[in-house]
Order: sequence, then C-alpha cells, then structure tokens
Amino acid sequence: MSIDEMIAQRLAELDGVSLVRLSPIVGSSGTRRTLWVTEEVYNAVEPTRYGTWDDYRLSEFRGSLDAFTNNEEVSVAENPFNKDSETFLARVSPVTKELWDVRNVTAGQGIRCLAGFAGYNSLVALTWNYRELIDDWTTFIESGETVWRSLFANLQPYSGENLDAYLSNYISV
Amino acid sequence: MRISQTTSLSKPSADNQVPEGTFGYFRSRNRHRFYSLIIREFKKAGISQADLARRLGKTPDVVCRLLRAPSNLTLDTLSDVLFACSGAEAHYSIEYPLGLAEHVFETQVHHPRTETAGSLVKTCIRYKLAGREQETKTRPVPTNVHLEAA
Repeated sequence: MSIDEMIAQRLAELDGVSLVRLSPIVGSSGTRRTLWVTEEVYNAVEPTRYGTWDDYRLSEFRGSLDAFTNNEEVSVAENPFNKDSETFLARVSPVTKELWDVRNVTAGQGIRCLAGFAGYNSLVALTWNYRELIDDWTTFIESGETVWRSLFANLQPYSGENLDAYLSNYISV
Repeated sequence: MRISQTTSLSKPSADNQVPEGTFGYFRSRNRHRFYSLIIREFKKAGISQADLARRLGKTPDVVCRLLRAPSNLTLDTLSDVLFACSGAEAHYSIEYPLGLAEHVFETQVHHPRTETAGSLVKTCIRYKLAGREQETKTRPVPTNVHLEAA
C-alpha cells in the first residue's frame, strides 16, 4: 500500500471523528477540492456567532476556505523564504515537514492556518491563530506538526514533485 | 468526540439587520470569485505580467499586486484588467445562494415570465423603511429582466 493510500485509509477512519470534511456554505459548480478540518478549525469557522470583530474576521476566513473547496484560483508560494506577503497558500520552513500556511491577509485581520496535504487537491487544516497572536513561528509550526502526528501517527503529509502535483487552479507567486 | 456540520447562514428577513459576519462571508467569497475571473482570463490569454502591465499602462508592480491575491477591486479595475487580458468583459447575473430574502413588505408582482412581451408589470409595493411606510408607483419593467421584488 502506498503512502497516499495509507493516508486515504486513515482519513476514512478519522472522518467525522477527529476530522470533518468542510463543505462550502455556498457551493459552485465544477470540480471541488477537499478540505478536512480539525475540531479546532471547525469551531473557528462555523459562523453561528455574528456579533464581534473576531466573528467577522472568521467569517471572512471561512469565505476563503470555501473558495478553496470551490476550486477557485489561489496564489501559492513554494519557497518559504521568497513569498509574496499576500499569498493565499505558502509552504512553511522547513519544507521537509510538508506543512503549508493558509492565509487570510485582508488588512488588519490576518489569520493563519497550518495545513498538510493528504493528496492531490486534498488539504487537512490542522490549527489556526490570529496573525497578531503568533509571536513564535517555530512554536506555531510545531503545534501543527503535533496535530498532524496525533491524527496520522508516523505518516508524513503528502509530498509532490511540483505544485501541479498538489493542487489545481493556482498561480505561483 | 464526533463532529457534525451544522453551518448555515441566514438569508435576509423582515427588517432584521444582516449580521456583519454574513456580509464578511459574502465579501470574501466575491473577492475570490472576481480574483478567479481575472486569473483564469490572464492564464487563457497566455501573456506575461509585463505584457499585461504594458496593455494597462501600469507598472509591473501594480499588475503583480493584482494577481497575487483577491482584493477589494474597483469595478473600473476589474473592467480594465479583463479587457486588457483578452478583450473580455464580465458577464453579470443575479443568483440567490441562500434563497430569496423574506421581505417585510407586501408585494403583488406579475412575474415577467408570465407576461406578454412589452406589457407593463403592475407592481404595488408597500414596505417599511426606517419606521415609515412608502408606496411605489406602478412602473414598466422590461420582460427580459427578472423582477424579484427587491
């Protein structure tokens, strides 16, 4: 059994238990990407609370996540040390960890969400925080790695040779 | 632990204020959709960012900023970029992703699809606005326009 198949098998075991496949609130036609989220991420983007500034930020973020699942075009940076400040999806250092930063970069309301690919067009969102609350990126990345391991044990996130192997409808920036 | 999806956004109803979070979701969604329009047309055109910058009469930095992430584009910018890419123009239509709003006002509308061409659609709408009632006059509506009592 390949690594990809082992990840897929583990995803099936986690489905609805530790992970949920996040469906877009408003869908669109076309092939969709798959976004799995942990309970932590799900609780953040479940927009049942509307009253605060944080709620607004999280609702915007949910809009971005739904754009991903709706297969909209996204900007991607493969090099952690050479990325545009507004890139939607950026690989984090060290690249061997195969963790990616899903970014909501609207001015003044940045959110960062660490994720790992489970396969082509299949992303697992692990943990998140408001950008201004992330003081130590190393700690943040380690927390994402810890969540991945808690879910997939010794299985590493999906790894591809180039961006085409990871996702569709992207522009490299 | 089990996770079940309960997510929903409410469509506008009565005279209740639409939650800011709902606006935030749709703003984000539409920024991404417009961004996708641009990126797809840019890719389809097969031109470079430098080419696009020259067509727009802008610096490469400006084009780079447009292509790197969804943003709150002006309609003029959207129009310029799509046209400069390939002579394209956005196609406009209206949809109701959460369903048609529940209105506070009473309305009597003959749907255009049931009307004969060129006929007048008699609309009498009484609605509450900022605590007062207003009444519209009967007005002609072209038959190719969806009248959704908005």
